Amino acid sequence: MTQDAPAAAQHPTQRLSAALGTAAGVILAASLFFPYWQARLFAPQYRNGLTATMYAYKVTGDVAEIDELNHYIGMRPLVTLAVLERLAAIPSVLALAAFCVFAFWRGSRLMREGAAIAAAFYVCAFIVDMKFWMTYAATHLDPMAPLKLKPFSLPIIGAGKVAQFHSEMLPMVGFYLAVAAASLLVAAYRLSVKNDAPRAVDSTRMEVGKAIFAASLLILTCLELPRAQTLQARIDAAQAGTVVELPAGTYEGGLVVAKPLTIRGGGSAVIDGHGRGTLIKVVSSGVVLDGLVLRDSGDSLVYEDSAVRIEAASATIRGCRLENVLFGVFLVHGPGALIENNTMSGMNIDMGRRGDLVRSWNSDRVTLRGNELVGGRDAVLWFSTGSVVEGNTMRGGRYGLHFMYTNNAVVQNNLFDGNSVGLYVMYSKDLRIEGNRFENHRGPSGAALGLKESDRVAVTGNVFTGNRQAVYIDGSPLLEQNENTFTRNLIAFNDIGVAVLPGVRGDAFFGNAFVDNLQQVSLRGGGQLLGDAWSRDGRGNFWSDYAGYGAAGSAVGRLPHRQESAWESLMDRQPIARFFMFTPAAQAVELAARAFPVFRPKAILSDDAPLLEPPADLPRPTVELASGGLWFPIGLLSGSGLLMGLSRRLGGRAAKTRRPLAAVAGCAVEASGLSKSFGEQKVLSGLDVVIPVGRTVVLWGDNGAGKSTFIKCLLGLHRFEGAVKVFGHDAAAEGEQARAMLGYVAQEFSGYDWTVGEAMSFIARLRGGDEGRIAQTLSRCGLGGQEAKRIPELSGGMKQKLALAQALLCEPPLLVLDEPCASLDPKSRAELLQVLRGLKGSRAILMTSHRVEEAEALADDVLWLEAGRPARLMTRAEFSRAVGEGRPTPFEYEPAEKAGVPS
Amino acid sequence: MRVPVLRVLAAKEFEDAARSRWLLGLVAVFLALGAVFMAVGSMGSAFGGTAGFGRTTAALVNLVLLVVPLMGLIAGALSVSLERERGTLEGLLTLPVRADEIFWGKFLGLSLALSAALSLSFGLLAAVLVSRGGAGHAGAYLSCLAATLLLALTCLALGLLLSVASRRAATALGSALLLWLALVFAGDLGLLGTSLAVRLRPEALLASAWLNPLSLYRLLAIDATAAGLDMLGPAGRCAQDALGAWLRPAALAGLAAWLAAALAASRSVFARDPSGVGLK
Repeated sequence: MTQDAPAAAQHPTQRLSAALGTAAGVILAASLFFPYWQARLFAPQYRNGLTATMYAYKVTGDVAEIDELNHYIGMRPLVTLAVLERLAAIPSVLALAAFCVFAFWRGSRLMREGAAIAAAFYVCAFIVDMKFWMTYAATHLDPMAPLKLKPFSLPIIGAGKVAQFHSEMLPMVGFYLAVAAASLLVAAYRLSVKNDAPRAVDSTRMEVGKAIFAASLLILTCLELPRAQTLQARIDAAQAGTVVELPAGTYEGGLVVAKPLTIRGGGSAVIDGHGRGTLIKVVSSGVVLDGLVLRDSGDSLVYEDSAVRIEAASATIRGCRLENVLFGVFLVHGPGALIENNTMSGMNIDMGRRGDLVRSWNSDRVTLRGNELVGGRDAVLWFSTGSVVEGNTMRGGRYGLHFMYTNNAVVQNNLFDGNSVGLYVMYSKDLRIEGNRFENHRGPSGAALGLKESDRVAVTGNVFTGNRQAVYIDGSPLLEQNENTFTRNLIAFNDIGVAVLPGVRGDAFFGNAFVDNLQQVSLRGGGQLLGDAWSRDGRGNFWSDYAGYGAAGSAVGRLPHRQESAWESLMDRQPIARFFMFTPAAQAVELAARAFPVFRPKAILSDDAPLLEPPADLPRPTVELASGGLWFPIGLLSGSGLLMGLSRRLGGRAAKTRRPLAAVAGCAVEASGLSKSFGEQKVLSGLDVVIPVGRTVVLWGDNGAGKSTFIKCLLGLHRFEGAVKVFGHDAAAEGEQARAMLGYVAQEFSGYDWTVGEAMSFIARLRGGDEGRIAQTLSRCGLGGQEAKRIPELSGGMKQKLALAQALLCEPPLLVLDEPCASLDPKSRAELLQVLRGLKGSRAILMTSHRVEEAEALADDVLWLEAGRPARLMTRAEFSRAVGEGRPTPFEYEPAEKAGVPS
Repeated sequence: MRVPVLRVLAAKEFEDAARSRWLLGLVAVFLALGAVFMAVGSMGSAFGGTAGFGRTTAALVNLVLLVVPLMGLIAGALSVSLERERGTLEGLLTLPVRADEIFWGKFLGLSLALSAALSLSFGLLAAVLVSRGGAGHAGAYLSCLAATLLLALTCLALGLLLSVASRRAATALGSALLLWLALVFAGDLGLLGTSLAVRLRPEALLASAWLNPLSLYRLLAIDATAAGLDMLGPAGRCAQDALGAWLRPAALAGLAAWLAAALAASRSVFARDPSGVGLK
């Protein structure tokens, strides 16, 4: 014995540890006698399921049947899986159990530790091994199998599904025992390594308490499992006429109630079908199900899996909650049933695969009251005469309520919302449909209320809003004398108010309000409604699109209301044309038909006594129609104001202010090899010229000589060959930098309809100039105090001065003027020349002109251009001489070097 | 592109648009007709204005389809061509600004002007609605406004394309009116006739909506304000079934594609010849 071996008789704690270790070993060994896991498989052909029970060393149950099913999908037989593990299970578990006993009585601390770890490892290894083999089997399917399935995965705990098979796997007693043994071993080990000092006694008790609690919990879990199986036994054992109270908890479905009992669940007893079959089948009259939660029925339409199937009279289903069920309450020969205050929700699957939340077959006098049905297929009553449906909500289904051969029934105060069809009445008669609300029934066959071959139906005081078709009538009534009546109904905001199939006769509409339906009445295929009444006893309907008038104090219009729309008629005949609703094209068709009576269709209907106001006793719609408030338009108007403010603010921010540019040194303009043609006509041909800073150069030449063309090339307005640079900036490639160095005055001023001040301000902001200089610049150009004057009111001379002021505002080092005085009278010309003379020497000036006196007054040099000839740059004196002597021909041109400025 | 320059040019365009008799006239027409429709519609219903996708809302969509494209097309068509004709564009081009800055400044300024005008109009119409007890569907109304703004910008870009390709304002204006007629009337009437004559399949009819920005707007507006597109018959149901929740993104993407394509084409033409000297 080692020094740290427990001396079993030495101390009570150590003795307790040894006892726990022994108990754990025994429990572990005992686990071999119990199943570890159970798998249940449900297939259509095995309604009650197949079971495979897994022990540590064997698999029992319906193995052969399961293997047979597995064969179809190519899965290996169960017995071929985990063969080695099963062979090793018994010796391994027994050895481990013996080792536990030994370790805690005679073993070292290391051995005890090893025993606890080995037991915990055994539990984990079992789960991992099982998951491995399940995954292996589900992913290594025989490709030659009759049914081809993709590899799949099933959970090892809980429900799973593959194709039409459901699986359900749960741990069983053997596994819980193994877990309990591992827990006890851990507790025993911790006890054994504790110091046995007195202060540790409380701690020891705590450890023991925890271990016992854990073991108890496991045992209780084991006991809970078979509880559901005992509910059927309780039901069977209960005396007829008694009440079976179910404590809160979950019970297995598949129950049969064959005696008149009341089963109460108090809202917390859950009958769970785990996705299989019918939960409760009632085969005795007078059964009451009260306050149960019925959950997860099967999903077989063939087997009509239901929450409750009733095959007896006078059953009551009250205050129950049906969740995720295929069929809710299925009545078959169950007259006098009362179904009230239940909530039922269908399965979240395709509509075609859903079941009916209420189905009544051959069950007269059924009462549905105060139920809420959501997301099912239909609530359908077949051959259920004298039934009453009141105060229910039917939402999100296919048919909210469907009557087939159900006579003398009452449908009142229900809400039908968001189904494909709210209430569809087929082959029934003597019905009263009153006080219901039908809202939002959309889709291809969307209709709030449909009548098919049904007679003597009274539709009164209902509200129809937001539906594709509020009322749909097909062959009703069957006989014209069995009149259907529609009174006091509000039919508002639907796509189609009343849709009628051809040949329908015998329906009477009076005292209703047709409000804002896109199409008030539609007759499929076109034509006229000749056999229906639209008024009675001098009282018709209210039509929101009535275009007539009434005498003072009269409730009825003087003119009949006639529905005659070419466009609506076209849509009735050609539904594809509906795509063009709300288009101006549709309006055009309508307008054309009104303009040319030959195209006007015959009126579908004529209401000879249209009401001028909706009837006072009309039910009101429940939708919030007048909500909202001033915030809405105020918000929009504020948004608009914000946009305007923002836009003005955009303009208020100037580009970055630049300092005046006039003091820039260097070469103002340099053109080299400048050529420009317009089509075949060559205007400039290889022009080379240099204009230094501070010089005033006048471009001289006849019309078409290329003066303006040269300037437009300089401004980047024309594409050209060669190069033009303005203070070193290429006019083509660096246009905006080149233009930033110059101010330009065109032959004729073109401005916006602004004031002088606005025009100057715009230039200042665009060029980043100083707006503070505007007044000074205007004054300099002879426009002082004219800021407020509108440009169209300025004379030609003043406009040119304004153009000059704009050009000078940012003090550019180059001023370019294209015949600035051409369109001015002598006085204005003299004034402008005076201003220009004042600018001479302050910057380079390039100006075109046809007038000798202008050139002589302003030019330092003259660049003489003539079409088809080389240009020549000459001094003013040379120019004066040339024009005095007549035109010099031929020009002397020096192609080897650029035309320079004479020194 | 320099933002300060763009701002100044956009502000100038906004001011010009705000003074444009065309635009002011169309806004006045839109407002007047809209107010009449709203007032008359809600008076007739006696149950509030936009409670459902009733005749009132339909009339508003119809009005938008008539007037807003005209606003956008005319504003765009006159923007460049009128300045070319008056010579002011050449004046702008002689300033240190780039052609791109002028183009985007125009688009931005006009977009702001149209947005402000339409927001103002919708706001005033909303005031009429509220006064009649409507406005219960503010979200749908705002969605409708958003779609309207997108339509206006798309038509503005199309107008710009016509404008940059024209030297004379009258040419651009005439082209814009022709395009408006084609988009508003001729296209739909032609398609309607074709669909009835050759029994066009609903899928094809639905796909044709992407060929006309106005049809896309209509789908968006109906989707935003109505209970469902099934009111548009087989093609509407096809839209619901085939596109489902993707309808709105797909229609928005279609309108955005129209806008982007028109802008790209306009910018390309303008950049090639800003002053329009090469145009006839």
